[in-house]
Amino acid sequence: MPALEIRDLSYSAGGRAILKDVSMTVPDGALTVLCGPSGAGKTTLLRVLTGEVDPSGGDVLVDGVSVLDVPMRKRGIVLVDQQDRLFPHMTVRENVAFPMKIRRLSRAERAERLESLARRFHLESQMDLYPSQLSGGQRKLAAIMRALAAEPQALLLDEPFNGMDNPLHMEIRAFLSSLQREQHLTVLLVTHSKEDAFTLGDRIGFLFGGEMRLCRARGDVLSHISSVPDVEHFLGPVRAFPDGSWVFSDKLMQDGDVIV
Amino acid sequence: MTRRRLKKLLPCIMAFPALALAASITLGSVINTFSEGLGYLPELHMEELTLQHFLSLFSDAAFQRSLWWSLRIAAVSTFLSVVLGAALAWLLAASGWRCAARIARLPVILSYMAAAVLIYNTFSRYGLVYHIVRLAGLEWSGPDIVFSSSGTAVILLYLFKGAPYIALSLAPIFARAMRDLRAAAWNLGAGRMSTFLHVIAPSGRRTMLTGALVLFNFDLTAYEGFSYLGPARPTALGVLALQTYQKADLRARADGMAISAVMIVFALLSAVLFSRALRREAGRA
Amino acid sequence: MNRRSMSLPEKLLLLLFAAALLLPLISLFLFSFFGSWGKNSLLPGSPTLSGFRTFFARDFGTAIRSTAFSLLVSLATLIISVPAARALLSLRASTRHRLETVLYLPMLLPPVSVSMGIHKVFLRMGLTGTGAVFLLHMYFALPYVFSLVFSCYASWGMEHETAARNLGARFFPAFFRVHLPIYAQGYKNAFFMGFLISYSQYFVNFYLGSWRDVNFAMILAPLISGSNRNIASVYTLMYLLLGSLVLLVCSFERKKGQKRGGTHAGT
Repeated sequence: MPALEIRDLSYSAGGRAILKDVSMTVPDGALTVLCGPSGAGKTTLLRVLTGEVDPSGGDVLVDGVSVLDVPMRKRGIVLVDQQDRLFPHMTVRENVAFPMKIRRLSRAERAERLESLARRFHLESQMDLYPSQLSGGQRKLAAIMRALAAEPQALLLDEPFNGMDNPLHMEIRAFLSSLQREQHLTVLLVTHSKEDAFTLGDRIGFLFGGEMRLCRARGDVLSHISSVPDVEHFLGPVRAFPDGSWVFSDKLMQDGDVIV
Repeated sequence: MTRRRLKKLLPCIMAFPALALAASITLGSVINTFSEGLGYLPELHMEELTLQHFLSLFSDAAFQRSLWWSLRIAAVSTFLSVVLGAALAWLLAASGWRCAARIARLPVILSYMAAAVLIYNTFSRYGLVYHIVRLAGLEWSGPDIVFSSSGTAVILLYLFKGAPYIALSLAPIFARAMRDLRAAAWNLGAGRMSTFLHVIAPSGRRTMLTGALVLFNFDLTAYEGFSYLGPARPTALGVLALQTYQKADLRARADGMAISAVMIVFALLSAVLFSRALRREAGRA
Repeated sequence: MNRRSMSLPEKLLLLLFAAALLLPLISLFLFSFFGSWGKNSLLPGSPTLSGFRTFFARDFGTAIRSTAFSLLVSLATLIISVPAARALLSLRASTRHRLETVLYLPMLLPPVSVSMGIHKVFLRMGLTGTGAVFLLHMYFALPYVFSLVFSCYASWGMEHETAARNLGARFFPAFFRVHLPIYAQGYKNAFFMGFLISYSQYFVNFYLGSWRDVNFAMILAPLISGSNRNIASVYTLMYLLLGSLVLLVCSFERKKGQKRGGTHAGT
């Protein structure tokens, strides 16, 4: 059973349809990527999943149970959005401890969990700093750490690499990938970057103009894009290799040979 | 009731106390004012609605003098407050002097009553200005501006309160415009004054308009400043309304309420005119 | 920009403004501490504390009661403004503008007209004296308090509180442990504004109040153009000091919070 299932979800605002009958599944323990251009409705979809806004139609199921009438705090779907939303008046330690206190973990359990998370995220020396004292990458990691402290059934990440320079981007991407595999996390990651989608995603969904055009396991995407012109155009020239690697390149079109 | 239905009703429940307070008192006072102004005072056996009390106002010399005088005082003090307030805002933004901003905040904290005491102490015949002039070796032969029919003391009072209010609203906007736009203007050859007039000041147009609206409305219909620093004749609208309402002849209450109704109409009219101007501004932005 | 890039005329102009604003305050201090300043005397007469003695003997209680009353009015107004601002933030723009208009009307309508108009309505409802005065103080303070709270929310959003709810917190823990600390300074500014509006009310108390509702502004009124400048100045000075004390308390921020360097909405 998928951890998270979205069925025919629709959402309108100001007379405009933002999401139109969107369906997708997020398998348990897998990293699913939702890819698409800016304005496609990706962030809106995440806000519907968390319960921040209510859809006009469709359903959201967590472990097979509909959660549309379940309040936000009980859904088990935690979002790390683009602005992090670390509480500015709390240290990193207090931020991460916040969901643990809500769940009434004992002081000893909290301390143990905090230590383990800080070690895993390599933020031991930043735990007593305030968010304004952290770098951009550290803030993002702290926000993800806080989300994991809530022990969610599904973790949503909205454009986690926005605003990062290339080295940091690569570092955080690699860290997320290893963390997800190690902890068998169910993750739905939203990005407009096709490179991030193909690097991280076990499964990739493509959202265009509020509609889900394609949603497949990564290995199957390239064999299906010819039937979905929007996705083909979005990805641009791409070549898959027998060993499972692939390359995106505009120069392929000019020369006919791979130019990396 | 499902969670979603409750979620839809929640904003109404949350906003209800504030909206109920504002709407009920507004409606109650406006309806009662207009009904009494139309002659409906059942406790005085006046139950016939009539426009007589409104119409008689416009042929009443005292009302006309009062209206003209109030409009003049309000227009002059609002205009001067906006001009001086904008100049002060520019200087505050340019200097970054925190103590100057703190000094500018003081008149805003004072009530009009307390500010009236200050204006009286400073500008009355034997007030501080008189003694400063004498200390400088000059003889003071100027008129006593307090209680004068020109309303100078009242204008000074409204200026003392209004200009800092405008300045403190505009200063952060000017500071931001200076930071973002001034270098570009200078780079294009603009001088200091033209940079202020054509680049900095327009960024605060909306705030100036809303500030002017609030000040004009208050200055036109206020009671405090006029009653304690203004002349006995002509008197301001607010004072005239109360004096008329409290006449020994109880039937004059309808006339008093008619004056009050005229004040309400002016207040609402200026609000409509200004909000249109604001929408034009928003469209231009 | 800083002082160094201001021209000399600009600096002089700023000084002139400061002097013009300070002059009335200087007159306040002079006349508070000196009994008289004869028209033919270059300097004020001998210092005196008689004005202060009169104030503390006669009207200190009224001043304190007046201040406490305004603090209560401001608190009540803030309590109803916060949910109203939150509610309006979640509405469509057109609906929000219409409801905002209702909330801003007290700012535009003349206090004289509103007081005279509502008086009979209140009497018919049996609402007299302190109750009527309290409600009208709230009415006039509401648009100022609401607009400050709303502008805080509009600038900073509610995302932190949403994040707390997303992390499992119920409404009240999210509100008190996340929302309130972030918006504390904004709420203090709104509270102080509400206090100022109520503290400076004269006509409402004069027209609708009973003998129990004589406030500081009403005590000041007959003194303004009286012959005893010393008494008028002392009373005004005490009025200013009590208001400043409230401002000081509202501006106070815990040192820990200041050292954090974190952003707080409303600063």
